[in-house]
Amino acid sequence: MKKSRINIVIVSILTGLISFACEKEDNNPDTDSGSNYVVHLRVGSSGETADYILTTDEIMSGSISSEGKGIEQIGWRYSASTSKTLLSIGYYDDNNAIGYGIDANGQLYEKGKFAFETTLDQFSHEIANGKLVAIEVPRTGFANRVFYSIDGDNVKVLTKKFTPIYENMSDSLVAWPTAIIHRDDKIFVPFYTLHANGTFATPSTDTAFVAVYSYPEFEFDQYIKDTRMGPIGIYGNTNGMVKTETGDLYAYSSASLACGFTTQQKKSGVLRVNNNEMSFDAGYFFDVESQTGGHKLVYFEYVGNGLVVARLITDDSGLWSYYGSADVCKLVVMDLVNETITDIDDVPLHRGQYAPMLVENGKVYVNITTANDAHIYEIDPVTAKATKGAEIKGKEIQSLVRLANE
Amino acid sequence: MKKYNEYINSWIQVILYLVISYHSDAQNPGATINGIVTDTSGLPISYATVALKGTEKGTLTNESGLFSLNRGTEEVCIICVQSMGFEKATVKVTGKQTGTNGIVIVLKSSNIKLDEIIVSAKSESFKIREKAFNVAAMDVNKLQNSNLNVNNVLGRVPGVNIREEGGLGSDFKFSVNGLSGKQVKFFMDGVPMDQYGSSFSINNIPVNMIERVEVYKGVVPVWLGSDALGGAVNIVTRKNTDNFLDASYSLGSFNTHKASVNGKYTIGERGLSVQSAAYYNYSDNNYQVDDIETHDELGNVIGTTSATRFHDSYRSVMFQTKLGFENMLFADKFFIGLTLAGNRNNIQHGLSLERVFGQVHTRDNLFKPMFEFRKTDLFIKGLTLNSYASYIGGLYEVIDTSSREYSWDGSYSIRNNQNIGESDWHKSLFSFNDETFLTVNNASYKVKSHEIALNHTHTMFIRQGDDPYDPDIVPFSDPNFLQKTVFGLSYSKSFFDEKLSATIFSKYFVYNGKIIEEELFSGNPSAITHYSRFRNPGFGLAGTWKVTNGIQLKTSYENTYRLPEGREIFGDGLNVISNPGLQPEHSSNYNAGVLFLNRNGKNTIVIESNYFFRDAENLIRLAATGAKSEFVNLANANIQGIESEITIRRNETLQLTVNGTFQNLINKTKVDENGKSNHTYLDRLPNIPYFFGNLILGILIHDLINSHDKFQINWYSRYVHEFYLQWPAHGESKSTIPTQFIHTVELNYSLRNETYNFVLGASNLLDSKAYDNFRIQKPGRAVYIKFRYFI
Repeated sequence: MKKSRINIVIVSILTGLISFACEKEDNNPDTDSGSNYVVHLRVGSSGETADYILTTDEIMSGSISSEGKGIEQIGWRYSASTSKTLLSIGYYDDNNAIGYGIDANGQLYEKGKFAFETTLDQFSHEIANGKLVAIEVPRTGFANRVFYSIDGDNVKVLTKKFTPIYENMSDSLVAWPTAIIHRDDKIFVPFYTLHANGTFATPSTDTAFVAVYSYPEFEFDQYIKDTRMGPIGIYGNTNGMVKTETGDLYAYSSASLACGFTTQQKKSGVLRVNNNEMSFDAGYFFDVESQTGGHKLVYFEYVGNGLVVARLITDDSGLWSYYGSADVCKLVVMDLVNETITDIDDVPLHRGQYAPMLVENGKVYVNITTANDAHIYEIDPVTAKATKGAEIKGKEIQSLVRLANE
Repeated sequence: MKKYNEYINSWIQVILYLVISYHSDAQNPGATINGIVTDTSGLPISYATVALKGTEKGTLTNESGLFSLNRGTEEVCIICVQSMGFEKATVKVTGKQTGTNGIVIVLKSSNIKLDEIIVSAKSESFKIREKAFNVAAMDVNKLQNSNLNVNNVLGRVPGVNIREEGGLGSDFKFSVNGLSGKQVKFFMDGVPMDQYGSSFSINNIPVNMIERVEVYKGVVPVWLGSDALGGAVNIVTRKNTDNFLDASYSLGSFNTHKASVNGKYTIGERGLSVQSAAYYNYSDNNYQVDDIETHDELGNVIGTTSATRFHDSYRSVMFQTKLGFENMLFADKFFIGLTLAGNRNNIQHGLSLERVFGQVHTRDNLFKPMFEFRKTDLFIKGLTLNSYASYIGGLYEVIDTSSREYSWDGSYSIRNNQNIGESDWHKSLFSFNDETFLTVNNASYKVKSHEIALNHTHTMFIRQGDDPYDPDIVPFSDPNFLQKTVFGLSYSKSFFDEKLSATIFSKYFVYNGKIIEEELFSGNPSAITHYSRFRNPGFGLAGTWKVTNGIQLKTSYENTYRLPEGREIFGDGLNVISNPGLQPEHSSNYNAGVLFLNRNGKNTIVIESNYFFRDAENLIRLAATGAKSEFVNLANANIQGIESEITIRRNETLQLTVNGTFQNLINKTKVDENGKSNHTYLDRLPNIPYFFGNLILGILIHDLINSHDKFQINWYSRYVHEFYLQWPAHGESKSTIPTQFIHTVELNYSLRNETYNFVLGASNLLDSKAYDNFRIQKPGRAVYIKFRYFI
């Protein structure tokens, strides 16, 4: 890598004599990277935050900072990604998604841009060939949800389909999707129901729902439901459901006030849809809440061999507090097959966040934000050991991904 | 019916005031001298100084040479009259010489040096500038022919920056010394304008209506009773002593029409006086904007384009009249009045140009009866009382009911979500019905070099919301009450023949709020009543020292608060949740300045330079928690800066003013709303201009073609240096709001002592792409003509 830097310096000196533009581009060796970790970092206090997309070589030592680094974003944004592209997704007034990739020189660059009505509230992992699915959710009323098929690598919308996910007119309920999982020629969209008046109230939380659609046509196929558990997933996160190597689907219910559920009619736990089946496994319910003595499962990331790294809420007393100031989360390893939970003792109590975890080579990299600071931790799910890595010099991260060079 | 009763109530209040004021009828009236100043050929001399010898009382003659002066209670008094180019005259007036046009004073033209006369003929604006407060006074008299609104004039004051979203009537953000928005309070003739709404505001009041504007920076005297964190602007309306009529009409680019009529008529000697003003503004604001992204049906970006704004028209109307007496035994001023105003504003786009609107608009209506009373030497010599009471009925509506999704070419498609409006997450026919009862009382007592002043400003504010479109969720559907009282007390003393003077003052802010919030989270709505209460003492001091005849030093300090608004404490009942624990914003404001004046023959140089420091804390910010947000006391900031202005005048013929402001706003927010360390601590605050200035050049030629005609060229340039949209220390590639350097020119020809006035002007003369806000392009070149008739 050092060699390539020297090359770049030499090239830049030569081209700098000819072209001012090149000089500017190559002047910043900080952004060329061999490791291609891309971080969506937020700095500042509320009302004055700014988001930056930046690259970093190292996530297990030093610090990750946007000082003098990164591409500034407009407004408050989410992120989605494929193997080659990070999509920075704006919100309401910044109603567009901007795609970033890493060029052959390891430089972050803007690949393209598309617009939508208000925002993309839910998105899948990469399905194949840089493609992903996103859903836009109207905030009020019974309007259709909008399914987007997106070519992430070329930052293009391929198709848009207007369809409801779930409607209950008599109780005035609509659906909020919490994951988009692709299996065979179907996508599975778990959701919770909320009041159509736009207040995010959830009066009905007694059933776990999944809507199934054909892919890529987005034709409605069927609902999968179960009343042993309440609704799947939480607001602002994309992992309500995960898929294993064998095609089994696991879905959790948080039953958590801290995640914005105004009623909790069932216990927090996990259900399973076995491979080649289209219903929940009647013999499987992982009762997380009972097993942990009242903790609630609010996030999990699948690693392999039935293991997930998961976040549990230890104090569920404050509405929306998962997204707020309280250090109420702990990190655990769960064996979904054998229904066991192991604490990760090296990770402190921390607060919830929007960013998904990064899974690489059987390890999980997760941002842990506490009242004092924020760090990347490397988790070994087999041993349930954690190693503290780079410090995040910001308010929070919206995503940590690793992109392949173009 | 309910509404009607409330109006009656307000009038009962007014009548109550009348009774009280009669009761406190004057024992010791001062008589008024009226007269005219002419030259030896009998032609009136305008703007001559008429002063009562041995007192501070004085006035200027109007355009017709007429003046009116309270002469106090002495049997015999001496008045001194002077005007440029004439010899000074001294006239003895005995007790019986009063009444309209009672005395005629004839001035002989002079061959003596003019500069000596100018020295003592300081304008009212300059006298205000000499006060200990850091105050800029902008004399608008010379701009009566201009086609400007008040905010255009204010934007040239050092330390002031106004950021406009677009053309006529568009939203603006006013800032003084780095503090802005609700932190700066506006007054009209000393009365707070907080509740006047957008239909009677500095962006639509024409300059014809006003005499001058005063900008108090950081430190606000007690007679402007308000919780101003960063300063206050007082708009002084025209106080012509005699009958006049001022009518004007202008027509300009973008189908812009502005008309105004303003007048005063007094019946008989010391009699009934009627003063009225009205204006009408209209513009299509259909100017071109560039660099708009275009998309295909799926939303993919296909290029950029330019477009003409098609849904941005603005209309405002105002009518104001007051009826009463001036210079009576029991009152110097005794008026009842009524103001009616309304506007309609079409909104073209959201925060970004890509979110285009074609239907959404707002309407604002104002109904304001008022009563005012003023008496000097009440009971005893030196005691002055000013009282003001009014009811303010405001109706503010947002009409956003369209399901259309517009493109910049004016075409549209029907939106997927028919519940979403163009500008918000919900469709809306939302309206606020605001009712305010406002009373302002100022008393001052002056004896020799001592002066004590007392202020009491009370606002009782009732807001009720209504939304026929969505009866489920209406913020403030139950009436909400806010009561705000400011008490002020100041003591001033001058020393050494007024060479040194100082003021200390204290203010006490009292706030009571009761808000009924609809609890909507449970899906089973119920009402919760919140109460909020503050008691905050503020204080300050100001001092000035005239070192020599030409050099004056000034310093001032204030420890002040801004009380939260109802929405900040109680939320909007929907996405903004209530925070009853919210505290007022607080700031310690410091000023130090020097004023330098030098006259050399025909030339005058005035230089003023001020240093300012603001230590602001507990600034209120909106913080998101999940899908909701709430207002919290979060941000701290330090602001330091220097503003300087130099004015060079050569007689009346030429005036050149250059001013500049540099301000450094530093983020002192050490931790974020979650208590975690903030990595933007000590960075410069983003999205706020930090270097800006003006150049003003005026050339005036008298008797160009005919005698008593006047030709004027006024040139205005405004420079605002480029600044970052977000944190300067963060990011490598980042957005900026580019430097703007905008020029406006006005040519003005007046006939017959300004009876007929013709103006030809152009704003943004070079048609540059100018931005006050990120990517929101302001209008290009606009040409206009104006005709004004004044008698």
